[in-house]
Amino acid sequence: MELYGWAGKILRVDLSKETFKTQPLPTDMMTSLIGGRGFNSKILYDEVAPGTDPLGPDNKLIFGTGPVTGTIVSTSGRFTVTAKSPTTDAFGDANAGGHWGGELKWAGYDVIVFEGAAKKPVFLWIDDDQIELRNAEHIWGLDYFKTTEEVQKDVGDMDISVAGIGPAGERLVYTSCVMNEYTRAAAKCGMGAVMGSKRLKAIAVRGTKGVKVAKPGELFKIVEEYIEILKREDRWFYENFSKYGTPMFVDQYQQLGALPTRNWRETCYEEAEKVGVGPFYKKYVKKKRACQSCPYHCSPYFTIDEGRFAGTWDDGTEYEATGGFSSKVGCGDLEVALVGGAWCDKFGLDYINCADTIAWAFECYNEGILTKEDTDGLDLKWGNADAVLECIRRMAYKEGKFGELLALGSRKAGRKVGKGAEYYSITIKGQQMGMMDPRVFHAWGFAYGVSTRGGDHLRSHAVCEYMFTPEEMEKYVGSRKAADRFGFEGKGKLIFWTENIRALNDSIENCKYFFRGSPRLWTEYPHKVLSAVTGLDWTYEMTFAAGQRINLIERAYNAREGLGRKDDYLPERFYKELVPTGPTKGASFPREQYDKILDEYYEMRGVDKKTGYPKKEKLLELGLADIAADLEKRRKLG
Amino acid sequence: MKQRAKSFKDADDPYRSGERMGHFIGIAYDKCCGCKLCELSCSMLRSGKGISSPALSRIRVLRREPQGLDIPMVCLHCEDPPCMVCPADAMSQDQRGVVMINDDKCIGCKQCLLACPFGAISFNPEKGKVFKCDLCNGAPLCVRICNVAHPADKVLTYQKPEMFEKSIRTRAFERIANSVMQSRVELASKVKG
Amino acid sequence: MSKSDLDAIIRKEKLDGLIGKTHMMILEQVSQVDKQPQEIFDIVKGKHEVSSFTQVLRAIDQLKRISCVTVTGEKTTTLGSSDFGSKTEPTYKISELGRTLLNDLKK
Repeated sequence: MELYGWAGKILRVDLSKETFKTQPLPTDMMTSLIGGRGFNSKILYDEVAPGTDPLGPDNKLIFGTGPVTGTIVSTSGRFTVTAKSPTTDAFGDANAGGHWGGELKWAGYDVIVFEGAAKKPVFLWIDDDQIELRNAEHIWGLDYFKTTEEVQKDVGDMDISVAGIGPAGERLVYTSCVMNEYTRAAAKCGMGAVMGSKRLKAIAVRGTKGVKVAKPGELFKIVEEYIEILKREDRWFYENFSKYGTPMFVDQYQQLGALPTRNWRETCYEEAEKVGVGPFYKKYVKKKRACQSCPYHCSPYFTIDEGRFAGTWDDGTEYEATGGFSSKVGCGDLEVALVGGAWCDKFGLDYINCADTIAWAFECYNEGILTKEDTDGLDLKWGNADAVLECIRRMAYKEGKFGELLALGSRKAGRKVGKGAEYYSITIKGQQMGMMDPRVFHAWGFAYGVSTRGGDHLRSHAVCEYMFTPEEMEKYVGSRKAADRFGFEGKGKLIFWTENIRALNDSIENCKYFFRGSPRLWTEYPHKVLSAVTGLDWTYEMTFAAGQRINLIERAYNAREGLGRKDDYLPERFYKELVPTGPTKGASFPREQYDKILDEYYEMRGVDKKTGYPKKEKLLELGLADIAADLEKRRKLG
Repeated sequence: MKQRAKSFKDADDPYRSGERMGHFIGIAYDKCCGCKLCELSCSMLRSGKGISSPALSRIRVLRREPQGLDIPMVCLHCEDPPCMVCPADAMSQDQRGVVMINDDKCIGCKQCLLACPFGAISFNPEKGKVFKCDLCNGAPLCVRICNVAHPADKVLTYQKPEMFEKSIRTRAFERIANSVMQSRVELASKVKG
Repeated sequence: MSKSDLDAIIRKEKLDGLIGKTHMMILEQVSQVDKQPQEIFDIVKGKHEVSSFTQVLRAIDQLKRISCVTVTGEKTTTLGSSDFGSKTEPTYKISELGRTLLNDLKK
């Protein structure tokens, strides 16, 4: 039978032995897990045992794409990187945009699994069927931008796609990430450190075979139709996001009273205007760019042409840099925030993990827990923007004892320092948080707690909490009350719904920004494009079930690693402290309310309320009997 | 479909005889965002096999992150096409000026590919023949999908001779006009201040 | 235009079952005086689960799509929310069809 969409191939690279083999992609994986994150999570569950050292040779680093990756399906260039995470010491994954995912599919592969560890630095070169591990000793030590240049020179083609790590990944910095296309990042969960531990510097790909589409004419019609729906039903977001990209969230969250300020203490920042889209677009942004097949072009390409940072450029600058390196760390210097983002891309650091860790250090310093002696002389008083840049560089290069401390990420660093520093580590399961304050969005805020990869807003990306009208919330999610962001009802239900569809987005490999205000996009697009590309008859129910399946596999992985209900909570700060200032002054998230939502969510997710472990009935219902048996053996079955 | 003479000197003047050449795809090089919807639509619907692959696309977008450049490159249907060097008579040009390859006649020598100053001709190793943009018989798919996805940017437009000078001149005028109006505002504020 | 015309427009825009209390509150606000989204939100927030500005923005868009409100001008905005780069927001007013809808929703 002809295969459409999927390439049908898993590439296994044994870095210790320097051997490769390709395996056919199992059909049942395609139909039950779809692709990308779905494939990766199951492979991780099956092949990386509990207790494995995340930075040791027994961990596996998995790169996955979906069946529609590399086609005109909107936003379909994405890929997922999965491994056991050194930040959570449990499940970890990261997702990136750009063009690398498409290139891998055009070369004819769905998934790459890296096993073992190379004895000397190497990079993988994939040129359709030709696969080669090349010596990377001459590029080890280079920043990621230079790495891309050198790899392209080595291979003799400037149009190839290069995923890789910078000095941070090489040094096993926990906040490091995998980069691609210069400025895209598979950012979360320390995947850069895992790649560095395998001495894998880069993966370069050139693909000319392409992706087979079962119904090309129909696909073209569907893609056009749904771009029109996006423009019509989510007009406000489409127009603003195409123009400004995520940096607009500084402005928007300031209005909503949701902008993380001074290490998540406050939710609005007195200098937000200096770091919003106004000044950014007036002086620095020269053009907008896009990921593969995207209708938005949200990425701002900017250059700094004068002053002490003249010569700096970056692309795809995100809110997590313009806000992360400003309001989150209490500094109102836009150029410092932009340079901070550019350095993170060069060094291979995750904006969120990096900014959160620096914010932790700043608050500890201002509370007297860290002294100048601890910070190797850096003055971390709120507002010292230059110190923010110093922190980024020292973290990336593990410079000095303070650099070494920052490189642990805020949870492990907090534990190391003690003396109350842990209270200021705003992490969940060890992973730092991004985006917005949980006290002012009770569903989306709750979701951080149950995200399978730790503190993360993307597992649920429940923007519908402020984008859907109450009528849409009633019709599509089944709870009108969930539309009230300050309420507590219907939240578990909403997060169950969003998490399933987001897992689906991560498996077909689509950007979540395509699915925002219009509920029709959330509920109709995935199965329609899957059907047109693969030629199989997908339904909403099938895709929704796949989303449930993927979430539960990841929860099972975490249960095996010793995580349970106790790990599904927000940092104490959000239960204890009321929002002190601004439009949402007084907002809170009382723990008793959180517990009720958690119970509601567990009920729907099929999780035991006491332990937080997946329940047997639910696992069996979703066709995960092997996982049920494994958990039962280990006494981790709910 | 008329066959264009190999040398312009040898031909009857097409404009005098009432023919209108000059159809092509206009490109706003500063506006392309590098999304490749054009490449993937073209390859999927025109390569004959429903395969989504830039290597099979007649339009290619070259991207350079450090400079923030995304440059669509496609056949410009030259008035005096160098690719007419074809020894097998496989290259011809119609009344609209659209330069086309006759697959049956192509021998895969690649002379046209080498002659094109824009790299607009590609080689399909499986078929052993060259391929290039043929303007999709008057309704280019790349133009269509680009304008659906990015309507505000007008990156790709189907140009006919009576339109193209005007549209480029109009765009340049808009840039200059904005700058003139901006200078008035700045001048006014300086005078007041 | 009659109620059945209204129903047809709503169906065409795929908004069946999606026009309710939120839209009723907005139509009430623009039934006498032209208002901008910001003003409307300040009045209706906290009622019938409306808690975010973007909910009001999208509901107004939906009313515009079914010809129940029209744009009458612009007003300065202090939040700059409709377009982050702009200092103004459009103002809206109920249309004849909007009055039909409002009467229907009030029942």
